[in-house]
Formats: sequence, C-alpha cells, structure tokens
Amino acid sequence: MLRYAIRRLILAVPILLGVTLMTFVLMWVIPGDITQSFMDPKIGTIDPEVLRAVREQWGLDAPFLVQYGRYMGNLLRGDMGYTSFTNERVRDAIVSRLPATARLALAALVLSTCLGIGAGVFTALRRGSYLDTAGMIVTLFGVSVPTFWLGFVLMWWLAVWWALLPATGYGHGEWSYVVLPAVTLGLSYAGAMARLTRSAVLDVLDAEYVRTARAKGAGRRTVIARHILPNAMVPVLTVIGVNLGGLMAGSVVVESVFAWPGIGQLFVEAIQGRNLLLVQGCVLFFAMIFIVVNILVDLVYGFVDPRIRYD
Amino acid sequence: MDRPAEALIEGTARRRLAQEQTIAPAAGPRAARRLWWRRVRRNRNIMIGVLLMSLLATAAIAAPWLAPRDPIRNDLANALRPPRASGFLLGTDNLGRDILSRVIWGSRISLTVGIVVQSMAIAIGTLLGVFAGFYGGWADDVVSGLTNVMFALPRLLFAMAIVAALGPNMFNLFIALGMVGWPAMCRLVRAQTLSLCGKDFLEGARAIGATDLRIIARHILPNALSPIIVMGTLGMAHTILAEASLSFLGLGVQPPTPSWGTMMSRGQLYIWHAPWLMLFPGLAIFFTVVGLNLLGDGLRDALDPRLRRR
Repeated sequence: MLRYAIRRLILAVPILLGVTLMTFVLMWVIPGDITQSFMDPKIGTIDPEVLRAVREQWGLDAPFLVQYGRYMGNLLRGDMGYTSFTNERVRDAIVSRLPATARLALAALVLSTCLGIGAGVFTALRRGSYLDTAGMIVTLFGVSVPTFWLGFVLMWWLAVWWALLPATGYGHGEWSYVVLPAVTLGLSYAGAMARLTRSAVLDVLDAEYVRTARAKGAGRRTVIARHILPNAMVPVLTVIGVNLGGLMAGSVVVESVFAWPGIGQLFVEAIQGRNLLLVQGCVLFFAMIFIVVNILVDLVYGFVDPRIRYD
Repeated sequence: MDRPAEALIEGTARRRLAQEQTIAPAAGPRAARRLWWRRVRRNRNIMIGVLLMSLLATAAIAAPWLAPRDPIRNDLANALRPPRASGFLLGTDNLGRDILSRVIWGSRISLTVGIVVQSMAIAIGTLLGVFAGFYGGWADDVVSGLTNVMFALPRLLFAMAIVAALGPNMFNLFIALGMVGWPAMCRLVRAQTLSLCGKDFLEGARAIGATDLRIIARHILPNALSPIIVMGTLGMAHTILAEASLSFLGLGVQPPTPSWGTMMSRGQLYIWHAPWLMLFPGLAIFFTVVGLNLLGDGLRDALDPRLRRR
C-alpha cells in the first residue's frame, strides 16, 4: 500500500509542473503583456520610458524560461504575486475567501452524492419500471439545465414567492444562507451522479458473482448490501473526485448568482476587473485542489480495490 | 420472484440480444446499414432528440423570416412588457426588444458555438489521439502528458481565464472552449486507435503494403467514427451550457448580439419585476441541451450496442 501511495504521489509531480506551465502561459498569451491590463493605451498615452522601467522592474524583458523559473521559485515560497489596485497578496486574497467556498462546496458535495447515489441505486434496482423511466427523465433534466438559471428559479420560488429563505449573501454565517446556493449546486451535479451510479449498479447486476450469490440462496438485502453495492461504488468513487472539479467550476457561477463571498466570486471579480494575477492564482489554486482530491481518491481506490495496488 | 432476480434474467437476455446484434453486421455492409437504421428508428431518444434539434435548426436558418420583430432595435416605449401583452408573445426586455425574436435569433449563436467548438475539439482531439495511439512511444508520452495536464485544470474556469486573458469576444470564446474541449476527444480516439491497432485486418493492410496514412484514413478513422460522433453530440450539449455560463458572466458573446446567455445576464437585474427576461432564454437552452443529450445517448445505443447504457 505504501509503495502504491508513493508511486501515485510521484506520478502527480509532472502533472503539477504541467499545470503551473499552463497557468504561466496564460499570462504569456495576453495581447501585448500584463502591463497592458492596467496601462491601457486606449485610455491614455503611456510614456515609453515608464513602460520600459516597469517591464524591467517586473522582469518582463527576460526570456520565457527565465521568467518561468522565477515564477516557479516564487510559487514554491508560496508567493503568487500581488493583486492589481489593492496590492494585496494573491495568496491572502484567496485564503481569506476559502472558508465560504469550502462550506458551499462541502454542502453541495454531500447533497449531490447522497441524492445521486440514492437515486442511481434506487432506479437501477427497478430497471425498466415506471419509476426508473421517471428517474431517468428527472436526471436528464438535471444535467441539461444551466446552473445559474436553476439558481434563479429556486431563488424566485423559495426566497421570493414563499419567502422561506434569504435570497442572497452570507449573513453572519447562518446555515439558512447556505441552503439555496448549496441546493442549486448540488442538484446540478446530482443528475450526473445518479446516471453514473445507475449504470455502475446495472453493470454489477449482470456480473456472475451476483448470480452466484443469489444461487447459493442469499437474501435480496444481503445480495444488494454485500455484493452489489461495494462493487458498484468503486467507479462511483472516482466520479466523486472528478465531480469536485465540476463543483468548483460551478461554484464560480453559483457564487456570483447568490452573492456568496467565496473564491468563485473573487475569480469573477478578478476577471471583470482584469486583475490577471488574481485570475492566474485562482485557476492554479482550483487546479491544485483538484489534483490533491484526485490523489486522495486514488489512494482510497487502492485501499478498497486491491487489484489496483498490485498492478 | 423479487426485483433484482427479474432484472438479472432480463439482463442476460438483453446481453445475448446485444451480442447477436453485434455479430449480425458480418452479413455484409448493406445488412449492417439496414440493422442500424432499424435501431435508429426504434430509438425513442433519437427521435425526440432529432425533433428538438430540427426545431432549433429551423429557428436558426429561418430566423429572419420567423422572428416577428428586429431583435436588436430598441423600443423604449414598449420596455418590460409582460408576455402576451399587446402583441409581444414572450414579452419585451428592458430596452423594449421583443424576447421571442431574440430567442429565435439566439439559436444561431448557440448552434454556431456548438458546431464550431466541437469541430475544433474533434479536429485537434482526433489528430493528436490517432498520432499518440498509432505511433506510441514518445509521441504517446507527450500527447498523454498534455491531456493529463489539461484534465487536471478545471475546464470551465480555464476557459474563463483564457477569455479573460485574450479579451471577451466571439472568436476568443471559440478558442477558449475549443482549448478545453479537445482532451476528452483525444483520450477517446487514442483508446480506439490502440484497440484497433492489435486487430488482424490492420496487420493485413500493412502486409499488402499500405502506408501509415492509408491505414489511418481507410481503416482506423472509419472504425473510430461512431464513438466520435456520440461524444461530439454530447460535447455540443456541454459546449452550449458552457457558452451560456460564460456569456452570463459577461465573458462570451457581447451585447447587443442576441445570445441566450447574454440575454439572461441582462435579465438577472430585472428578476424581481420581470422574470420572463430570464425564463425564456433559459428554457431555450434547456430544451436544446435536452435534445442534444437525448440524441447523444440514443446514438450511443444505436451505433454501438456494446456500449449500451441500458
């Protein structure tokens, strides 16, 4: 197990390097360079002397590889640069918004996982019934609806029409504020989760060991709980990890709909203000979390499915 | 007999049926085509999907004749009219523009974005996927490494960041969504190529002296076509949702061009007084994406019974 874990960690290193390279290139492809984002020639003239001084101060005149090396050096020391206008550290700006996003993503992940797995198992065990068809239609709607639109519909219905919940904002951290954004985000991933769980359970349903279990006289509950579910959950586990990436991307949209003060909102503000180092920092941060979660999922995977460990 | 056991027997029967269907094409290409066509006609998902997509295509092609009014001309005297009021079937927006006309014209944007972006994804993904799968070795290492890195980046966020860096307009939207769209296609085509490379008919083609290019064009690509079409269709659904999200955040198609996402982006300011500004473009996106998802799922069942989702 330890060897598997170490090998998995080593495999993540080139991916991490690649991701930093991609986020670095992101700043490289800006027309002109990053100085253009706050010294816009359309607004006023720029003194070429000043431009040259700024480019020299920031090391923008160095070759690509040298710049990337400096960028990596700074990253390793936890330095992602400063935000435009407020000159706050990008790292601090992100960390200060982390609790709100973690809270929303966690609530949505729990909701979508419970709902998705529950619905997937329930419909798969009733394959071909009306409940199964109804479940498929509902989940199809779930994966087809734009997240932000669903958010507004729920907001209109629950916060305005019935006035049950606060419409937007974070309040003083009360749970009532997290319900609407979490339900919006959770529902949009529950659909995909349910469809995947359903097909995973259906795959296992036809397996020979399930037939054997039934043939030796095991009861229905035993077959489901001991033979079908443990095996069907292995692929579902991976999807939970992949979904977390989607949840984070979804949180960008949902946070901006519900004025939720998380990293997603920070990201949108950064984009709209062309605060490019902050944009870069947010993408890198989300990618890091995504990689770490997937490593964890793989480790759990190796733990529950010994075949993978001994490959 | 309780349910799982029933399902079990049914599952075995279905599997046998699926096996028969995959064996049948050996009878010849014409028989295979007939079988395929029968499966398509019997598939309810495909039929509903085709119906919804033809509605969309009709709206997009015939927009100038179908739309009752000019979609971008302001008419402040008629601003924020509710649906069915004084000749505006779906109401008007804050600048008095007819929402029905804008929804009809918006279908052009969604369809264009979906088709262009998926074509880019298919072109790049197929090229790199075949290259990696066919030649293996360092080619495979480089392409697979790149795909793995792209998979580690959150797709929608990276697309947003690309648009933010390049500046928001339709062309950059294509680039951003195409950039994040190809890795999934590449992985699929690479896997297909790898599985085909071990087959006897490829060895045969090589033995009679076919060049690499000929083997790829005549033997690999036609055999990998079905899953590419399925993934392209489902990818189009994702792309249209992504375009809506980007436009909603002001990063996609710029006003006054009538795009469904942009319409909703403006509409959110009037959500309390005039919810129809958001309702109708949202429904349009919803039905388009439902149609594409149904079509993709149905095609997967019809084109490749072995991948049947049951």
